[in-house]
Amino acid sequence: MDEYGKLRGLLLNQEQQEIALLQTALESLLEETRDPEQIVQKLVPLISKIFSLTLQNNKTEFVEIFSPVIGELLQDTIKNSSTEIAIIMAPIMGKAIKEVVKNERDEIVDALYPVIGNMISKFVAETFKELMQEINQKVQSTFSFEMIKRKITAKVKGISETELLLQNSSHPYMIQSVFLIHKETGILISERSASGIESIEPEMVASMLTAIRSFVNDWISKNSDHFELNEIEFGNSTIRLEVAGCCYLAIVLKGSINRDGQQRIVKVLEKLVENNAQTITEFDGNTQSLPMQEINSELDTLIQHEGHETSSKKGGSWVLAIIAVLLIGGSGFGLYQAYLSDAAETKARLSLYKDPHLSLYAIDVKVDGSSAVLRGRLPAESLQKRLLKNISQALPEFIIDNQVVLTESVPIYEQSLSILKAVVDTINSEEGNRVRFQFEEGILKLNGLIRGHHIHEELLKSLSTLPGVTRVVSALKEYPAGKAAELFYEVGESALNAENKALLDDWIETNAVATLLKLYDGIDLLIIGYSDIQGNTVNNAVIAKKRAQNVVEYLIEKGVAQDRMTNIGVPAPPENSINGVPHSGRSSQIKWVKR
Amino acid sequence: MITKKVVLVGDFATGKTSLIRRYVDNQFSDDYLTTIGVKISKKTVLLHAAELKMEIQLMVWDIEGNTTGKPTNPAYITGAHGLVVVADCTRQSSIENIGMHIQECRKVAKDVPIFLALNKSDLIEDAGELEALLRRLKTRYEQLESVFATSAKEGINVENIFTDLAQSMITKRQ
Repeated sequence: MDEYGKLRGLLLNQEQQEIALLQTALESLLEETRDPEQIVQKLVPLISKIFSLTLQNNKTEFVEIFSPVIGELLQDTIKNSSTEIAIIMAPIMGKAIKEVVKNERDEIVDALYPVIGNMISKFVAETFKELMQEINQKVQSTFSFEMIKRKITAKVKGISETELLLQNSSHPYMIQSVFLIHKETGILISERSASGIESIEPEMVASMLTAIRSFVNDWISKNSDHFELNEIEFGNSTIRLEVAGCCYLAIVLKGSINRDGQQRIVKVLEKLVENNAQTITEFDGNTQSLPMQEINSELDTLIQHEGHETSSKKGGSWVLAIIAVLLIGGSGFGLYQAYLSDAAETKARLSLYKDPHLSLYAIDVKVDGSSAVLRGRLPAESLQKRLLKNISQALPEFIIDNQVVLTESVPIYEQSLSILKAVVDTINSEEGNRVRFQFEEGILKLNGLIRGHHIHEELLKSLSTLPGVTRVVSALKEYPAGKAAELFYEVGESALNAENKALLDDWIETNAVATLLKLYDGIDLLIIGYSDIQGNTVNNAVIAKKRAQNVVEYLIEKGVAQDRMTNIGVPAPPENSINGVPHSGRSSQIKWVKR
Repeated sequence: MITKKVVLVGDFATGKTSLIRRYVDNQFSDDYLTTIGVKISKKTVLLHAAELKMEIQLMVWDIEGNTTGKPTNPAYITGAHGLVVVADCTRQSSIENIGMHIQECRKVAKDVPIFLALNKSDLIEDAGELEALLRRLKTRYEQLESVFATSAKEGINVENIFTDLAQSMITKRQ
């Protein structure tokens, strides 16, 4: 073995030494890897090189590794050292906002809108408050009669004086039309307009408004039932919508409505709904199923109100009456009493105004306590009787003190003459009437032609009550009032269908046409054919004329004298039936005319 | 005066506006203009039944035709007294959608007559084919009270469908 050992030593001496060296080297290496301290020390000089190399070759991977941490990192940093971060960010904030506004303007606007809206309304409210306080101070520091009046008015109305001042300074408004519309179907229940204003196609307006309401409610305020379309503004005009469960009011008005007006609208709607909710809900398009009279008179209360100006005037007189009573007695009963007298006077004046015989004269009614004093001048005893009857009906509980003076003077004659002229002109403006008159020394003489016995009698009756007329002598010739007839046609049709023929037969029989014409040679028949406004005017003219001619032919067939009839064609709808007429005006009319 | 609300529903370009135009103004135009929102027309109908003779005012609501997937605004249909579903007899898709339209109508307007107008009938030459289609649709959709093949262009059955609908609305409610 020793031999073998020596031999191995000789042969492998160098290798053995090398192995020993390797062993020590390996051991020291192993030692190093076991000690993290040493590894770190070795890596530190290299780390920046590693990062820069990875970034260079594999940037995306690098970002992916770090991105989840960055958010948290920032959050933590901001939480722990917000002041420092703010200082760091401050210089670039302005630039950043500018950039966002430039690129995403809409989003910024959307985000800020609700906040800014609130801010502005808060600001306006605050400013208004200040303004009101300022005005209040001014009001309080000046003492005048106006002030007392204002103070009391404000008390009575239950609003602050300032509001009253603002209310008085606002422009008057005028309600032009009121529509009551069934909410579900959009069908018009009723439309009322101020005198002199005519709504065009109110049914269409009602339906269109309903469609617009639905549109706005569905698309703009999608998930909410609580919002309603309240107002549509157009120049100086506004359509206000006041919506209840079964129906809604659309009010067309000029100028801006005040709180008073709005409350009145709400009250009217409340009343209508309170009394008729059931019937309106069940409304199926037939207006006869509704208490139209009640509804209309309720709606009319809105129109009769001439807006703010009159209401404030009315309020004013009322308040002044209260002041007067307060000064004298100053008790609650006095207040009530003043209100009663005011109401009674209004009632009495209204009854006089409504009576055409009395409305011409200036009669003053003063109610004081339980008696009503009448003052003024009347030309005839009959009128005085009428007056007393009127007033005692209007004010049954009052003792009437009649101080009216009876007079008969020249102005009365002139007044009567002008009324006479107006009455006769009105009568003559109707077809077939030709009335002339002479009025001398209280005797009124009438002659000429008048259509219908009934009208003649009415005329005599009303003229005989004219002041200054002592006797009426009538030589008027009556001729019977033949009724006019109207026929309708389908598009392009000019021949008489069975239904129209039946209508004509009926008309000829009930009016005894042939006999009438024979008896009264002063009257003739005029047959007018009309057309709608669609299509070509020349064609329409031809068709209108044909319609008239066909009627004439049929009448000749039925024994009406040909030489007593004239026919014309008008290529348009008849004047008295523009809207809402069946068949768009395709019609013909037969009229009685004086020769 | 009795007033009734009639609503026309159906796919786009089936001729709802044309039907109304023919009915109310007796006019027709080949140009297609899509309706946006609602257009409302008014027409007075004289009804002659055995014992009653009355005037009815129809407020006809022409609703924008819906494209696929977009339902008609139910608020427009609410309260209708009578409905007309309009389909184009030359366009299969519009016929397939009839059922959907009927359902939508029934959701908001229960108990009111629904009529079908199979429009543009002038474009189908074979009268037998049209008849068969009408019969098929009538049996398939029981909810339809009446079915008409109409042509706004030629004025076929336009007056009839509205007059019958008016008649039905009056008898149904009274």
